[in-house]
Amino acid sequence: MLLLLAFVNGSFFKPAFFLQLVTNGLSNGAIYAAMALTVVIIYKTTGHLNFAQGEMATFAAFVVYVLTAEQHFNIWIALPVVVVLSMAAGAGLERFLIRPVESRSNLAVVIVTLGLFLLLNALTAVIWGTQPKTGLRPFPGGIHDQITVLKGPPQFAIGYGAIGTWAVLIGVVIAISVLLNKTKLGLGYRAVAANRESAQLVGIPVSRMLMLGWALSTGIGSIGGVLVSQSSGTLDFNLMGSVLIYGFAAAALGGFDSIRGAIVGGLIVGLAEALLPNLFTFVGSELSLAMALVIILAVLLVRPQGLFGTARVLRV
Amino acid sequence: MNLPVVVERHSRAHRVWQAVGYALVAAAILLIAYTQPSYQLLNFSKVAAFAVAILGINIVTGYSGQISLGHSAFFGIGAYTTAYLVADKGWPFLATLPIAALLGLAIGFAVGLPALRIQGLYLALVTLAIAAVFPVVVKMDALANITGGSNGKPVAIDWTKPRWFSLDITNEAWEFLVVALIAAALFLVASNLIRSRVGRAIIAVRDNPIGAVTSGVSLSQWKTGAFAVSAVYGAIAGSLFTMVIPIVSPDSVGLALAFQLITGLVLGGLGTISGSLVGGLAMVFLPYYTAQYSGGKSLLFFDPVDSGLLANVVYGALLIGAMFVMPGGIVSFVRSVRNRLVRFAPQPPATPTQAKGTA
Repeated sequence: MLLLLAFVNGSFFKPAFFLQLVTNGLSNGAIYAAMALTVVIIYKTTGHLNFAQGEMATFAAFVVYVLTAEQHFNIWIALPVVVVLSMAAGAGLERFLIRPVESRSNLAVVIVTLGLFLLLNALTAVIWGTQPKTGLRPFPGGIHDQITVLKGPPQFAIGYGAIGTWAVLIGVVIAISVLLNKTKLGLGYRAVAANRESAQLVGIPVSRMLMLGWALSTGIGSIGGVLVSQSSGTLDFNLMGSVLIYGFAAAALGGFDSIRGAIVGGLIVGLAEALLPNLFTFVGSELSLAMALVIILAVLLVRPQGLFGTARVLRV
Repeated sequence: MNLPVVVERHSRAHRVWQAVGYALVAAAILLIAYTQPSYQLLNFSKVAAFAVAILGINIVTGYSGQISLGHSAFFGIGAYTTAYLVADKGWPFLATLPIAALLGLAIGFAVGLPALRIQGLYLALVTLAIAAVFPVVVKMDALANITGGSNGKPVAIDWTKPRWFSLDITNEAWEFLVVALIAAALFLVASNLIRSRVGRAIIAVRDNPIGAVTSGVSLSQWKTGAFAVSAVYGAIAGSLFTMVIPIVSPDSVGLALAFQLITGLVLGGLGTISGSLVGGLAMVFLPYYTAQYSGGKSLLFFDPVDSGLLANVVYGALLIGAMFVMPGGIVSFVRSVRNRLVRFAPQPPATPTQAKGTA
């Protein structure tokens, strides 16, 4: 431990700098939390991981781009339209691409989602080109669009983009919890998540609940795609490449079947990504993706159910 | 004549059948070496390298049932080993193969150990993350001396046909022959391995782990073993590929490669040795023909695009389509057709001879 102290970056402990890092971390963390949420919502009912999640979000972000930049709709009109469209697409994917192969093996589902990943990634590039576009801006994102908390130097300011991202995440979480905990539809979803066979026996339309899971997940994913585009200030066909890995890391950390875990995991991963490279000088910022891998590996090895997930028993 | 003809395994007819098969492969290799123009020879050399890589994934995913999406990283290890040893240390390039294989073995064991605890989808996730992280690590400034950073590392590989080799072929054909020979040897080893008790053990682990353990098969031993062997194949493939295309860059060994290898595996046929070769052919010639098709032409109403992207669209569609239409891949499909004509049956158990002197 003492040896580690030798590598600590001195300026890390200046309050303004530290607070700025925490803000950035929590802002990215909110996006990772949203992506982790998409992973968890599908996993809870179907037990599958959708590797195409990120590419579906990218595709949706491009549709938002077409509606706003080319058709001149307001982004707050375009986004809900795209969310509804993606939910329909998500439900359709579950019904027509996933369910027919689901009974065969895990590998079959993995391969279909990988195929979707390749197809959507390349299709996005074929349709909209490989050159990056200007990022989407649901919230004002200029240099001066921020609330300055500490004048500095060093300055500490919170951008409207970060505040907007948090607001959206909170909104999504509230909407999802109300839907799952207060409505009959949500009760059905939770019943299928708890025990598929029993749910079927008491007359819950299981297949519709699986489609609901995919629809919710895809809808949240498309919001996530727009947020990533805002925070990175760009939009290209590889938008979600590493974001999805962070989202998976967050989901693993929180537990693949825990919605609360996804949120907490996302924020922790975001904070770790922002803080570690600045705390220890030997952790280059280019290695933050490797950090996500280490998180996934460590959690799955030491505590496979994550922080809040349900432990499973395996016979061999 | 009654169809299908039943050929008993290990009978003389079966041996003849096998010999004809090997002879056909050898003839095909020679035919390619003699007749193909140099750019096609290069393509076929790439096929050999990719086929070995896919064979590696096949051992761990097809036969032992552990989903690995991270073989681009093993491929990269081999590719960088060869590039580094040849470019910086002046090694003769073929001498780098064993080193690449050893490194692959060590790293395969290292990845195989956690894979004992991490199964199914989780393993897919971890190996996917490995594939995504590998190019990032290779790009690191700290490693730039060895890996050449984000620009990649070029090597000079001299494929001049040695004088003692008397066949009248071009240097490219010589290159193809050497690479194909190495690949063929690796295929032979894998196919014998799969038919031995090793193969039966790892297939048992895949099909019924509980049953396998009950029959005394050690899960941990065979699972890590399968990972290690498959990593060796991956590393050797990467090494061979660098000998054919003498530059390795971080982006050439990233997620895209991982996905293409998986596509090749699924198209060729999971759990079939020859499927790996078919997969290698698909990996090389599919982008080649989509490039020819899209050359200058635009897809539907879109602008003309990078042919690699177009190939990826096709890969994605094929990957999904294959799962629906022929989940066993091309080889299983061909086999089911062949089974209508010729069928191979296992040798009937020897009838116990009655011991003398007892009633």
